Amino acid sequence: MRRLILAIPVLFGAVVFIFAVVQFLPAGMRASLFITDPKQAKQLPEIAREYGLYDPVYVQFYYWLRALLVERNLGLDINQDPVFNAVLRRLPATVEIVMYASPIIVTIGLTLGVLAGSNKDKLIDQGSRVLAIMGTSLPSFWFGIVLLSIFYAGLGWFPPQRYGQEVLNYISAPNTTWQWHTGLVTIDSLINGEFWIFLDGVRHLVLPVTVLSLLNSAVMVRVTRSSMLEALGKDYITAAKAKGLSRKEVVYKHARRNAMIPAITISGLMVASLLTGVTITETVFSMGGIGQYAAQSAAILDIPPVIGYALMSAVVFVISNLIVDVLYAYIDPRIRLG
Amino acid sequence: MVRERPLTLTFFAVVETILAIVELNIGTLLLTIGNPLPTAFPNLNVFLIGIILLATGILALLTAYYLWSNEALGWVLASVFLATDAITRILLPIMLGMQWIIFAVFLEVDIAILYYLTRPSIMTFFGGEDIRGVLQKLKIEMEPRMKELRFTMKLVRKTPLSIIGASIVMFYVSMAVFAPFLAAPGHISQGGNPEMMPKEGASLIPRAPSPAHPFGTMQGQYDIYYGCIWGARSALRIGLYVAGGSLLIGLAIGIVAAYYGGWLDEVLMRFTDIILAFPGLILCMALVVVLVPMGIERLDAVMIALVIVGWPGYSRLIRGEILRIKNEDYVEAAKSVGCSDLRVIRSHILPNSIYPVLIVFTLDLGTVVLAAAALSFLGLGASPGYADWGQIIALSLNWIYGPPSNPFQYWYTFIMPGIFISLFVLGWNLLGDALRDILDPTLRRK
Repeated sequence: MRRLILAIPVLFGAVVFIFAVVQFLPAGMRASLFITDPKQAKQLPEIAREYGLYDPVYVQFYYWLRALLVERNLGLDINQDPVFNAVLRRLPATVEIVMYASPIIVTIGLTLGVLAGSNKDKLIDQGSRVLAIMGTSLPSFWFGIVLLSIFYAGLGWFPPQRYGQEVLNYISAPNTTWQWHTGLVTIDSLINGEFWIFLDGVRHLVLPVTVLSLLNSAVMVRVTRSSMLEALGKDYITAAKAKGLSRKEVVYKHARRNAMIPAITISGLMVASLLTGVTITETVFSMGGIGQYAAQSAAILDIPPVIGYALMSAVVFVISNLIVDVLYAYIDPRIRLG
Repeated sequence: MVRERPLTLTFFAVVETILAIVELNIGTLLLTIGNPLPTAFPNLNVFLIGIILLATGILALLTAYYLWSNEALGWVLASVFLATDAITRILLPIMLGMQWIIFAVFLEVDIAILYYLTRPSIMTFFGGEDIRGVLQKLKIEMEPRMKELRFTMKLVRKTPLSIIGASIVMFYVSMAVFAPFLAAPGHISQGGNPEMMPKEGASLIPRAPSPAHPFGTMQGQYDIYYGCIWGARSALRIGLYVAGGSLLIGLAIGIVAAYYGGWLDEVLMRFTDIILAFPGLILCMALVVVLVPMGIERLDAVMIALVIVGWPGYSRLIRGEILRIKNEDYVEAAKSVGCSDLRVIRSHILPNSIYPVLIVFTLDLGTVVLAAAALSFLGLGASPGYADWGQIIALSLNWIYGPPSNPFQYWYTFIMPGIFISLFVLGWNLLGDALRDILDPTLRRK
């Protein structure tokens, strides 16, 4: 409960911080975000006045916050598209990548971490070390480019983008029977009964999910490994061994449960690296998700989408950390009861 | 025993202090705003002079500190710093030409003080009868530290990864230092700025490696080899500026928060909470997008954004460490004998809490470069043509696929810069990991 109360001022602070960052721009420059035509450039002072950009800061903050909360208005992007709608439209592509990547990360992280921890300095441990070094040293965008070059340019297996040309033609044909339900290609294709579209979607997802999960699972592996090592050194392990339990039972029943607790804590922080990772992976594979949208806008200094994206990722990050805290208390009896 | 302080010593201490302040100011000025008199000195190597001035400034400051102090070893340390300072000062006329002999005036000051310090009366003031006596004292005083250092070196030798990491880092440092010899600047297209990559022609299509361009050319005919070599300079600079800036700000705020506690601590830590509520790179994007229209140069904007995102981590770390040792007996003891806050922090708290921060700093020197490269890749990095690994990779994005007959035709556009950047980050990571095992007092003796 205390966590929940702490999370609200942090979120509010994040909103104020983003607002303050934008305030660094002079009013005339912020007014230019509202114009649709270069010819209007001369009227910038009037536009600034009309939108209240010369008002005192707290009045502006009130207007901005009201627009944000009531109308869910994050401003317009460079194509005069409301940022909120643009993001909603692109959300499924991002969700699809993260949806497949996160279980893989957790599986690799926990399995490899437990194996590496219980086989210290053996081959599997060295393997996990190599993975960890890769995860921290390889630039994810470069890794993605190399994979694309090998598996698309060279072998032609896994193309970039969300779907191939035939699928796009099929979906956007005027007499198509295709219907969007969830916006996720791999799920909607099954609902529509089009198995070939499902296969196409999977083919397009393999590389981005690989890049995202391989590099991000490194942290999880390391954390699980070290907490596994710590757990194996505890007295209750010695006691369990002394009772004559098999190694398997000791490792999986006694040590693993306790080793998983730090791994759960880390998964809250993982959300941040996932959000960052998805921004880069989507750009490399041009998946058309919100990360790519923000990156493209940032490259041409189109402010509203980037600000909106930063705000949303902060909200997602804080809320997921909150969930992790609750989960943590639920799993660990020392916290639940203490 | 009250010793009478010679007036000349005080005079030299004043001179050295002023010298340090002047040099540090000019050095920072040159490094931050660039060439102050572009018309008078068009070919000034601002970066080099700035670095040297900063170095001599810091050395002068240390000298001044020991000239002011009455510590027994004061004059030994002051002499050592003075000598190093003098050697550093000679670098300027040697590297930049004889018109910089003007700095030799400062050199004269150094030599004068050095000469004065060798006089027996000064040595007796600092507490030694002669040099041998003082050296004896020095040896006794430094013995525990030397022992610790020898033990550290033994641990370093026993950790092969740390040696690999250190050699990778040294490799890049020497690459940065000798960049002008490895890839000579001065091509007409650079416009006199060695940080820009030379380009021959404007054709979009990259050209394969050839004797003239060992790594080939990329989109726009920029030389990849030149970019990779000079990219080491830009990477080291980004790493030092960003990690150093975050470290200084983070340490200052973290120490104040932890040492004074109360509402100040609460306010400062809630502020770090807010910044840590954002995924770092995404907040960086937002900051850069706002900083660039304000008229800040792109690379500077990236570095400022990375510092803003980076310092809270250091604050939290040092704060936790200080809170852990704040109530230890030795801190209480120091306070009870009347040590000032600054002294308690400097000689009792910092030495016992700084190691984890230094390890993170080492790791950061690599990861910060990775983050800057990622921003560069997203189109937010240095201005076009600037020798920067991230930018070279970003420009290769159009050349991942060759024609069907030869799908890997343009491999050189992204493989080479990618290897450079990965190795760089790997080097710092290995070094940081090894340092963690070596310096961590809980793991050290196991």
